[in-house]
Amino acid sequence: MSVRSLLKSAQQAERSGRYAEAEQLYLQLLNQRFQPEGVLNALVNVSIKSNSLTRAGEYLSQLSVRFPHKISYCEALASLYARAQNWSAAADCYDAFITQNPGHADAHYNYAYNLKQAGNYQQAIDSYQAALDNQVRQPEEVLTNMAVIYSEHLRLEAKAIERLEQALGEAPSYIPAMFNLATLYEEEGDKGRAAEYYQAILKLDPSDHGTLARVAEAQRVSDLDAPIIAQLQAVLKAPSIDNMTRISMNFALGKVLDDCGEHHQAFKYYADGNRLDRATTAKYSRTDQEQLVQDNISFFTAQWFARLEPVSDAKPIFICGMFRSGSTLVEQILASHSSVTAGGERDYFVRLDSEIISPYPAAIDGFAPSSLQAIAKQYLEELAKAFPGAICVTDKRPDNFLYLGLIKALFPNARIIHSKRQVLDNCLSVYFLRAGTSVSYATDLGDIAHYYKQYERLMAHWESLFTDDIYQLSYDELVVDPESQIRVLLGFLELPWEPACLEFHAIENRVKTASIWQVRQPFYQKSSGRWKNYEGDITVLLDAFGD
Amino acid sequence: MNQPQNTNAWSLYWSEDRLYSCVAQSSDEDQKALNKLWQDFSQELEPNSRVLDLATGNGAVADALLSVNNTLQVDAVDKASIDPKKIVTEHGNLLNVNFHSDTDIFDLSFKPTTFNAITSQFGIEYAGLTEASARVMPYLKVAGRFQFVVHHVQSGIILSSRNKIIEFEQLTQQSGILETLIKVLGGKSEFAQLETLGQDYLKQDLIRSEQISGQVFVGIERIINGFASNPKESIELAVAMDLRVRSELTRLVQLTAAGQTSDSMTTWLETVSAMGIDAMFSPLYLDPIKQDYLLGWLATGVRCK
Repeated sequence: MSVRSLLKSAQQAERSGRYAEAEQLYLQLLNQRFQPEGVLNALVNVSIKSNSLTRAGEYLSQLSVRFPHKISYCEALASLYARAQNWSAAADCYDAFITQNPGHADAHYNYAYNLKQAGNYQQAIDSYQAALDNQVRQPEEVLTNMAVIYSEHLRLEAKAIERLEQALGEAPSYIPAMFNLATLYEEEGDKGRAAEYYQAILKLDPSDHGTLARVAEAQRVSDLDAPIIAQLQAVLKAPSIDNMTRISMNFALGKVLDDCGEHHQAFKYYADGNRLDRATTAKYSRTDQEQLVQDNISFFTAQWFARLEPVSDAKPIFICGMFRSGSTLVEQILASHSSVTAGGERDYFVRLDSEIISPYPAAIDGFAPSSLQAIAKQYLEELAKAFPGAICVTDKRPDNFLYLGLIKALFPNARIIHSKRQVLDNCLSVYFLRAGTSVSYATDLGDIAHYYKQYERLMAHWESLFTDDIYQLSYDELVVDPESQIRVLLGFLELPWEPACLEFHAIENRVKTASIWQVRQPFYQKSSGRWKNYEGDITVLLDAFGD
Repeated sequence: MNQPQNTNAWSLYWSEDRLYSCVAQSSDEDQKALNKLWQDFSQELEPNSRVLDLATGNGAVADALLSVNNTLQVDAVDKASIDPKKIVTEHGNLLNVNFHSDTDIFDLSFKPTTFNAITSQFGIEYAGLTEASARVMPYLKVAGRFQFVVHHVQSGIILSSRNKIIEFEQLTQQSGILETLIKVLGGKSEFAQLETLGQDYLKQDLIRSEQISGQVFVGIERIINGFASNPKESIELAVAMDLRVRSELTRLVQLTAAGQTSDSMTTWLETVSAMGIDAMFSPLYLDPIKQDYLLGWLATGVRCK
């Protein structure tokens, strides 16, 4: 068959959805060296249409090798890996491209982005710097990205502030940099400076409703006549606002009306916000969650642990529990101790789950003891790099409870603090916070109740396996009787009592979770029993949890 | 066949400081993706290659090509009355481009086998993709390459243009808002009539955008408010607005008509293949992996003999 007939047949097959046949015909064209670039592109398209992403990757790799100066192929290949959340492989694509094109600023930028996703924070910073050195467009954006890494992952807030100020030096009205600066000051407890930046943003862009919502969040409103309420309501009434704004205005109004004691009205706004938000978040699958919990319970058994060879004798501290259960408060209390540094929400185990140990947890059995040792060592090295000189760093992430099996496999001496709060208060608190796409159960009280029960089920399993290594700290008892609770907690961690732990709200550690204002206040008893204000609105929870 | 073109709409379009055709109203992402495509194409060209850029508009493709390969010698032609050097001052690369304004693809005077490459971004298909390709391919040297980004009937650009056309048609219909505005200013109709038309327009069940209806309504308000103090200027503004809206409508109608189906692309392929060109075409996506936003067709090839 002539190349022209082959091409025609291949395109016809592709158009008719006969992708396997089209692929074979395109491959024949490729063998005849007809338009290799176009044919390889066609092979990529056909592979994607037939969901053969591995083959699409192979053809893109060929294009990247044949055309090492064409960034589109590098980007497409990286995007393919990114889609599978294989960030390291995505970063490697740019690494190879940069070897051939060292002055390509956008490639350095994308390399940095993927390195960050892969958890290589310092390398990501270096690559962003290379993008800047190569005159990348919009340097303010790059500087802001660097600041986010410094602040969120390396906990080098001074450097973060420095980069954000540089960004504003490049572009004085660059709102993301102002917003991040405000957030950093907010985390630091400097409400005044945070408010200044928020107000400056609103002056530049009165339609920046996200910032208006933050202003609402950052102040306690006691009067229904407070201007912020009218401002929020005016935005919500505007017919032209987009869905995201409508959601954030509903949550903000829920918050300020809750402040004012208008609970039923507040609940209506929260319910509206959640209803709208549900359409934007991935649907929570109760079946999947049950399976995930069951997989953990079935895999991590006492017998399995008995067979396990020793991996590491380190004694890291993990804090876990339900989202909004007070784990941030626990971290702040511990960070007030001279021997403890708050590590914030580490994502090491989440990355392991998505990138390395897949399917989790079954794939663990495929790892030799030496590989597990390497994984444990890397975790400790990441912590040491992020917090040089720290004696003991906490890893506080509510959903660490999903990884306790792996954590205890890597670190048999790990100490686990399980933060627990009155169930109805906890569930309501989840519902009242717009948690984002990763917390898919948070927009529906029924889903929250379901998630909670699964969490309890899994925690019961861990407690049966690691009885002595898990300490359950009750948020509700902590706020009533902090000193005795903290003494017991420190005893569990084999740390001496320090009165500073009662003054946790005064320390300079930054708090990087959704509940920053609650933690900044001295013990917040108001959060305990809050559900009673909403008794008439939470039948679903009351039915789920009885008394 | 040389299809008739109304170039006025495009001359007016390019007389604003637009660098990009069609994608100007879309996202920056479209722009970036196309820029990369041209930069990649440019990387493969030898230094000092001669390039013919068809339907160049304000020279976006030339600008992208030269941004990575500044030794290229680019001739850029357009049927519209363009003067990008005057307008697009911030794109220094364009100073080295030979622009040929008011030049029909079918009336080019280059010698055969002049160019190492021929390019077009949302351009050549307005002249009839197959016919225009047949006319320009002889200008390619043997082993010379071409790359065309061509409108696709199902592309995001064309789909969104269809809604805009409906909006423009409503505004410009006979005895519609814009026509009545001019009549009101000329004393040939009552202001109340315009008010009624405006209210009726807003009640209609059609998509109204801020960029089109919103801007026209703001314009009418300003024109009416300024009429008492400066009637002459108000009338001039109203006529200018009417002209601009009608031009944009014409432009969008041409744009949607330029969308190619896979059948028309196959016809094109057969025609250029018969001329000794190894050619290919494939859909061009903003994100080739997700394949969720269609930019157009990518037509590429090389002259074999």
